Amino acid sequence: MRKYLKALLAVVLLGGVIVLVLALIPKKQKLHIQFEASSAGTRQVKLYAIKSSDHEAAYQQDLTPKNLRKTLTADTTLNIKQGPYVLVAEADKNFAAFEQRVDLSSEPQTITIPAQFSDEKLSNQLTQERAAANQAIVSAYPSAASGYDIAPGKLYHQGEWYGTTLGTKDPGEGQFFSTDTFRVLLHKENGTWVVITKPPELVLTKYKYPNVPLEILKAVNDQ
Amino acid sequence: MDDSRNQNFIWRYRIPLVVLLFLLILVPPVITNLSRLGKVKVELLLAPPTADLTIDSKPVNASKTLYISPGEHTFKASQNEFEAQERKLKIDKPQTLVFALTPQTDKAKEIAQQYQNAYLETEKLSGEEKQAEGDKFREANPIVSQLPYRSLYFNVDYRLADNDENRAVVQITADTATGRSFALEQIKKWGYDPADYEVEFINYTNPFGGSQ
Repeated sequence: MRKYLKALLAVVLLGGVIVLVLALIPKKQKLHIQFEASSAGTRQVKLYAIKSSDHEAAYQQDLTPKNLRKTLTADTTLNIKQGPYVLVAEADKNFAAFEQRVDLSSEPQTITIPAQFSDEKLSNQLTQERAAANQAIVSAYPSAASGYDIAPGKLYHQGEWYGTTLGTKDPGEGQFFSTDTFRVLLHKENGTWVVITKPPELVLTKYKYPNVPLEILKAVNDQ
Repeated sequence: MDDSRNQNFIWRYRIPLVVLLFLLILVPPVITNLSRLGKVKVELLLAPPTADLTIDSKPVNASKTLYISPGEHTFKASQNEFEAQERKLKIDKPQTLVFALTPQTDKAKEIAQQYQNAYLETEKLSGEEKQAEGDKFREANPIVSQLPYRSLYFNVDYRLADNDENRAVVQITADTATGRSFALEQIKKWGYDPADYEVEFINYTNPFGGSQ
């Protein structure tokens, strides 16, 4: 009788310990990090563990070697403890800086490191592209040549997006502030600039242009 | 003699027995909690409470609280002589689901009368749900907390999107370019980005054609 009682006690104790250990084991989750084409192998991305804080300013102090979990240069799938992380890629001659917070919880996540060219590289490309891009605008809207000034504009991402503004030419004395500024966005397709904003608009929104990256719409609005 | 032996046995094994008792009390709730890991708590309110409930066509015990795997599920509440209700819902956070079945026959009306309190509770919760829907709309479209906005040069207001009543369309009314520009600046001053909203300019014609 006592033997059975001891055996039962041992089983219950073991079960209890297993249950408690299982409850205490930190839960892990998959994080898939992929580099946008052409940037894999050419830049480093660092993964830092941070404290649960929503504020960028608060987690900046966590970006120390002590909190560095991985340094990646190619597509990788990590199986790591659930919690908040930050992915950081420093700017270099070719690519712009990248920083993104990741909250790993019950669902696996995939983060794409964008191959966003640096301002310097885009600026150099723009000198070669501006004439062709402006010509595409004038072809689509002949009145843009006669009645509007086309601003110098900017290239975005890897130089395949071009955004600029159209402002009224010679608005007349005292009328400068009475003229609208129109936003124009072009996309390079098969080596040719194609006007996306038909017609040019006062403001670009994600609802009207769902296929254009939101950060590009915002950047063109801010020109 | 037997009593004395029993007492000795209990005394000798008093510590393991206390541990055993402690574990018997502790382990079931730990196991219950572990079985709920990764699931979402869903409170149910059925009127009449005798109605049957299925989730993804599988009958469930329509007790007041269920723990469901996150994702899209089809809930169906039904009872003979009542109009069944079916809802496809995305379960991603704790919530209360209310099903108040409409009686179709006199007999069903009698049943509904018997459970009058349950129906009253569903009405109260439906009111709260509407309030929650309003809160959700404001959360999804935070700019509406600033609207309508009237100024000397422009007005900013909103309407519900044609194909999505959970989305606000921002409407800017201004007679001049300055007014339109000031309106967009005002939206940015509030801390919102116009690119995140559908924006329409009222009584305005785009000189390049089309409309905005």
